[in-house]
Amino acid sequence: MVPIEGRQLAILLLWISLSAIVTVAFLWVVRSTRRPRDFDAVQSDGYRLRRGWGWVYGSLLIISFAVTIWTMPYAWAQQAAAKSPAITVEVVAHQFSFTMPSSLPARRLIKFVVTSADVNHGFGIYSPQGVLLAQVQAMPDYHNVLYFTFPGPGTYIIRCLEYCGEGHSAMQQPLKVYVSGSQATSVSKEA
Amino acid sequence: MAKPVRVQEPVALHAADIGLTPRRLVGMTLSVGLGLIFVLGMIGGIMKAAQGNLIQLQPGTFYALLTLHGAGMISTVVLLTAVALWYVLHDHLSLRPDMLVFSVVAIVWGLVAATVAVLVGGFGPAWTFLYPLPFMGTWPSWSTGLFFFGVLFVGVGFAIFCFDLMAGIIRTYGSIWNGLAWDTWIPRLRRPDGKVAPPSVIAASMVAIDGLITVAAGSVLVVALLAHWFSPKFPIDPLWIKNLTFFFGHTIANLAIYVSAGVIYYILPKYTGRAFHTNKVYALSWAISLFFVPWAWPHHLYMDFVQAPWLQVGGEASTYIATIPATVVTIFGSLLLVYRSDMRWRPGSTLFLAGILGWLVGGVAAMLDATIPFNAVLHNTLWVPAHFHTYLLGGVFLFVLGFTSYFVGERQTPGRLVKAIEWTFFTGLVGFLLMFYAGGIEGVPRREAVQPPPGPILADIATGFVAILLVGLVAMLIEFWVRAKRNAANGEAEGL
Amino acid sequence: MRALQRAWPLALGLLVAIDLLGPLAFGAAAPPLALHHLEHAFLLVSGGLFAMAYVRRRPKPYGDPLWILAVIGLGTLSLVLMLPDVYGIVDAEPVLHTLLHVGFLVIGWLGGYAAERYAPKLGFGWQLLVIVMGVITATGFGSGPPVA
Repeated sequence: MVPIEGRQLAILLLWISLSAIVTVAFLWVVRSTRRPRDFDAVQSDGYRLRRGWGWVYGSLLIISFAVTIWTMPYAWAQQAAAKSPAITVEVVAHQFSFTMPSSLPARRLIKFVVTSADVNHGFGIYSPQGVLLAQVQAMPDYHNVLYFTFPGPGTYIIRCLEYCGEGHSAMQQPLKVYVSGSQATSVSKEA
Repeated sequence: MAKPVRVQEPVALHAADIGLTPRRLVGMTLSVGLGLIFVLGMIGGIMKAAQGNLIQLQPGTFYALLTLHGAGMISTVVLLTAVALWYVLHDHLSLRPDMLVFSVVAIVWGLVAATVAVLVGGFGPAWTFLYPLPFMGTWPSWSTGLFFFGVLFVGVGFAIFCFDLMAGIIRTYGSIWNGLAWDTWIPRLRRPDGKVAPPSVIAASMVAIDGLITVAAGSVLVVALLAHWFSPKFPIDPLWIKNLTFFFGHTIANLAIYVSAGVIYYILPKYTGRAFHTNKVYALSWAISLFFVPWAWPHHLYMDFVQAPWLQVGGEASTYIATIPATVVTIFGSLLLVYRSDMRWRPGSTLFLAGILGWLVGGVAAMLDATIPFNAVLHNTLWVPAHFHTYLLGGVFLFVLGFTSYFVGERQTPGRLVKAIEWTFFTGLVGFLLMFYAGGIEGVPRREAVQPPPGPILADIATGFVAILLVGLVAMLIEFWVRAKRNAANGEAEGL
Repeated sequence: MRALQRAWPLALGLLVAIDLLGPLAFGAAAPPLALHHLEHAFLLVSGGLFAMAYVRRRPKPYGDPLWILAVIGLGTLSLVLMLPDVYGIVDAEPVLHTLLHVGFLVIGWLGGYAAERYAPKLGFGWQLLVIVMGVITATGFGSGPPVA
């Protein structure tokens, strides 16, 4: 099993807790039909509750929107935050492989410039343990820019994350990530 | 004063003219549609078994089946919900049976064309057919063209449905604005007799308008793809057509749930003995849906970083806003209708309630996925099929089954056998969905013939649950069939 | 208000005439693609509005399903006419180009008429279809990816 950590853990906990809350509320409503009452008796309370729920839900959405707008993965959101100059790496996706360096430094900001030579592909970065860390689409005629810093050394997996034809599930390759300075600083490019 | 215009009577058409009563027509469509769902569900099970290495499939075959499963399910679910809404409103809005026949026939023809393209031609770029993959695959060119003609026919069928729905609403309420109950806010629009559209008509009005917007987008999409197929010189911008594909694809799939809402508004009151009443809140809530549902598609392109920032941010905002009317008005209102009511628990009402829960849980998963920083680790993983199977299979499809149960006539309290069928069905459903979620959180990509671990183990378990689910479904459909025959023999139609 | 109600067909007719004849009279250059698509949508919508006004004055029996099939067919036809293979034939010839624009006006009229013949006021459904198609085509129908 792939360890569940970081964002995936947050998502799982949110989904489980929110689903549990709605399911419990739901079962409570179902059980309530054992003690029937007139609609008039419950309707006004219901409408008051609805108003309250509307406000709570609306506020949750606004908070979530405000938080996420600062954590968007786009270049325009990240460039400003980037302190160190980035290493630019060009990635070209084909049916069914990536043309890109086979090794990159850890803990350095890397600017992936991703495009495709044929159909739509995805460029997904998986940790050595198999956790999906980041992704961007590879689209023909366009260059998508993804800023990413490898957290540590190891063999990462680059995997296609957009269905691209018969060989799609085989479209993955290892990427060696080393500690900066321990190997040549120049980034070699492989065909 | 303007001269009163003498409007001549419509060209008369009675059900007898086409040899079908509306009831028989709807019954036939339900039978065909539910049969299709079962077959396409089997295909889903076969794909799971292949991912779990229980059977061997060539990748080409796997992706062709994937394409058929996706395109077929979406079209069939749209058809089934549309037929259900048509049935509950046809008397009230004087909808025309012959138009429904045109609509059903066009959609079925489209499905036949798509099936031939897939099964004979091996067409397999998935149902989203992102340009330029349809033109760069291993399948023959004719299958690409035939599949797009199939999509065109499905679109035409849905357009006919929307046009007739709109015509019926205008005929009955004077204008589509009154169909949306905007007259609750703008008294000037109100009809002289003060008649206000009931909630199911409000939902139908939203569906008719957004449905026409969707098919307009779909027609531009399909004409562009067919033009490129005829003449590869026809230029296509990959980013533009990706936006258009999801504008069409997302909205038409999403509309299925709004069509269902119209059915819920009509049928749930029958079981609870309480009624939904139109008021300003309903009108406002459906106006929000009307405007924001067509703007939710950009959440499919969050990982296309070249997309204009306003579309990314706007896509998240629209997706969020579009959930407000559903959760605050329709779902809350349905629960309020059930709360401490003298609910008659029949197969139909159980299915409707379970469907509302599926809508909610799937909605929570959808909202998490539609949140951009989360989307970065969920996009194109199994989380995506997890959430849409939750609200299409565990939501919309349950409404269709609930409607079918109501349609064939409930008549008696469910016995032990019916309870056992329900338990089987729901066990299979929940187990199957949980495996999808587990795969998603583990980062297993969707749409892969061969998955990285732990994909195959999860697929093995899921295959078992799919088998249970399908057994439950078959048993449920047989029970409906038996009930339909018995009630028909007693001269009883739909109802409790 | 009453005057406006009576005058709009004249005003719209004037706008349509300027749009159709302007390029012929002054030899104006073709507008950018997006604007050109919107121009077609304008002609389609205008044709539809004229048809709706026409049917309102002379009500006819309505309700034949074939009218709806005509509406859908006409919408598709208008898109097919905008394909470069078709449009390329007339693009260079101002007179042919103007004739095709008249064609869009006619398609708009026929679409509006057909929709009204299916059900009164359904012409608005046709207009919705045409406007959405116009806006979407304007965002990039028939144009390739941006040159990097």
